[in-house]
Amino acid sequence: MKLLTRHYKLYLYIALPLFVIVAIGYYFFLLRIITNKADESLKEDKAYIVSQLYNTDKILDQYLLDMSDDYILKKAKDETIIKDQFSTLMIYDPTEDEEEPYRQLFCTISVQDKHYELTLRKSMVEYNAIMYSILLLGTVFSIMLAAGFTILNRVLTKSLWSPFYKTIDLLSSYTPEVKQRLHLPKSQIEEFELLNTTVAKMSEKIHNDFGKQKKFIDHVSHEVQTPLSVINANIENILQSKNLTTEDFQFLENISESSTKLSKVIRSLLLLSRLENDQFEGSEQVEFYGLFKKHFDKNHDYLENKSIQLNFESKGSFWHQMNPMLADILVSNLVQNAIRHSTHNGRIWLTLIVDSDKSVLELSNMGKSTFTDPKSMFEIFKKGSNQPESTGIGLSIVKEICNKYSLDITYEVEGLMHKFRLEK
Amino acid sequence: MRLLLVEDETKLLRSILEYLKDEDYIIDTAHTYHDAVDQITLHTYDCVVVDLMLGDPMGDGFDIIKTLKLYKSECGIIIISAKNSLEDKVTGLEIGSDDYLTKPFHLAELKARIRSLLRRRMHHGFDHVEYGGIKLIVDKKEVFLNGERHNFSSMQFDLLMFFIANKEKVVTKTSIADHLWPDEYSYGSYDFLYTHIKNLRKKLQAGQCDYLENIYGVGYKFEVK
Repeated sequence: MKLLTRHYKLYLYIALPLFVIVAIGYYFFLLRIITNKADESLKEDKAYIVSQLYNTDKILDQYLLDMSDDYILKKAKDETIIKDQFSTLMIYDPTEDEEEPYRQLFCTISVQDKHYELTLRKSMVEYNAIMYSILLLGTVFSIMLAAGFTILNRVLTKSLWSPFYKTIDLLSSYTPEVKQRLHLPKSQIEEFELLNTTVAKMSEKIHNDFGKQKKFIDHVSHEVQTPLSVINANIENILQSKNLTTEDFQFLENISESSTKLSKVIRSLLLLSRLENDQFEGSEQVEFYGLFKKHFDKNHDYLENKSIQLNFESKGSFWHQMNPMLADILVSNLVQNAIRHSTHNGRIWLTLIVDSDKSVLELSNMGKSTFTDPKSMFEIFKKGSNQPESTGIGLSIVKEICNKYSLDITYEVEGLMHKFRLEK
Repeated sequence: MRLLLVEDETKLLRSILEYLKDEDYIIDTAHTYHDAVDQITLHTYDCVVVDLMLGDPMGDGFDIIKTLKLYKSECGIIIISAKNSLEDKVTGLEIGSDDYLTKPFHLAELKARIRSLLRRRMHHGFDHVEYGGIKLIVDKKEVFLNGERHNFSSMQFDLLMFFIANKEKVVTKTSIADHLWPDEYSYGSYDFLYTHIKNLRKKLQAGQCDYLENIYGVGYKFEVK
C-alpha cells in the first residue's frame, strides 16, 4: 500500500465517524434552536390571547372552542392549574396527504374566575425546511472542503515525495559492477537528504568492497599464474636439453602436470569467487539445447576416442536469459563431466522436454555405479574415485551459475545411469 | 625481425628469450611501463608481446598498446594475461591487439603465435611455410611433400603447422593438446591425441617426410635428421 493511500485510509477511519458525530450534534443543536423559537412564538400567542380574554370578556363564550385547528380554547372541567406544557406531535394534513410535525402548547388560564384550557399549535414544516437546508448546505460544504483538501494533498505529496522516488529509481538500477558511482539528487527536505546521504555512504562502501574484491581476485590470478608460467616455461626449456634420461623426462612431466592442475584449480576457484561476487555483467537469450550440441561437437575427438554414442531428442527449445559466457561454462562443465564419467562404448542421452509451464533438459550417461550421495554431488572438491584429472570444482561452478540465474539443477543415479536435470 | 617483450617477471622473460633464441629475431625486453615506452619511441618493432599486469603504477599493458597506437606503430601485438577474462580480451582487441594468451601458457604456443603473427604481417595472401621438403600454403591449407600435393585434414594441417613452428624442439603432449583443443577441456588422457599423431605420421611417411620423433612419452620432436 502506498503511503498516500495509507494516509487517506487512516484519515477516512478517523474523519468519517467524527464527521457523522459532528453532523448529528449539529442537527440536534439546530433542532433545539428552532424548537425554542417555536416555543417562544407560542408563548407570545398565548400572551396575546390572554390579553384579548381580559379585554373581551363577553364575546368569549361565543368565540370559545374552536377558533381554528391551531387555537383551541375550551372551558376547563375543573380548576386544576396546569402550567405551560410543550410537546411535539404529528398531525395529518389532508391537503398534503401526510403527517406533519407540530409544536403544541397546552395550559390552563384563569380569567376573572373562569377557567379555560388553551391549546396552541404551530406547524414546524417551514422551520424544518430551513433546518434541512442548513444541514444540507453544511454537508455539501464539508464534502467540498474534504475533496479540495484531498486533491491539494495529492498534488503536494507528489511534488514533496519526488526526491524519494528519484532515489528509489536510481537505486533499483544501481549495480556495483557499473563503473560510474551512484549520484543522488540533492533535496531541500532534511529527511530525504538524510536518506540520500546514508544510501550514498552505503553504496560507496559496496562499490569499494566490490572493487577491492575484484582487484583481489585479479591479483591472486596474477600472483599465482605468473610463477606457474615460470615453472612451465623452465620445464619446456629443460626439455630441450640433450642429456636428459628417461627418468628426468618422467620427473619433468610430473612437475608440468601438477603445475597445470594447480593453475586450473586456481582458475576454477577464482571463477567461483567471481560468481559469488557477481562480477558478470550483461545477459542475453541463450538456447541450451543447441549449446549442448555445440559442446558435444567440440568434443567429438574425445567421444570418438571412447566410442561413445550420442542420442539427442528434442521437442522445442530451451531459452534462458543469462550471461552467455556463464552459459558456455555451465554447459561445457556438464558435457565434460558426462564424457569423463562415461564408460567406453557407452551412451550419452540429451533429452529436451518442453511443457507449457516448464522446460527440462536431461543429460544422462552410462557410467560406473557410485556410492556418492546424490545430494552432495555439487559440493566443492567432491569427486569420484580414480578421477585424478578432475579438480572437483566443475559441478560447484555449475550449481553456482544455476543459482544465480534461477535454474534448477538436480542429479540422480539409477544403477549405472547418471542423470543431470536442468529445469526452468 | 625485431620483437619487444614486456613482462615484469624476469624469470619468465629469461625463459621466453631462451626458447626463442634459435629464431633470428632481435629481441628487446622491458619490465615496466616506462621501459616499454622508451623502447617503443626508440625502435620500430614487428611484434610486441605485452603482459597486461605490470605492477607499475605508471601504466599497464593496455597503456602500452595505446602508446603503440599513438606512434602509429604497425607491429603485431600479443597480450599475455593472468586473467582469463572475456572483458579484457574484448578491450584488447578493441584497442588494436592481435592475440590474447592466458597465463600459464606453453612457450611452444607463444612461439607458434608469434610466428603466425609475423608471417601474416610479412606476406599478404601468399603465406607459406617450408621445412625439409614440406611446403604448407597457409590460407588454402594445402600441403606439398617433396613437391607433391597431399590431402591433409584441417586438424592434421594445424598439427603440422604447430610442429614446424616448434621445429627441432621437444613439445609436450599437453602443449599440443592445448593448442588443438580449447583449454577448458581436460580429460587427463591423451589417447585421442595419439590417434591424430598416428594418422599425421602415416601421411608424412607417404611423402617421405616423417621427421616426427617420440620423446620418452613426454612429447614429440620434429626434426630433419
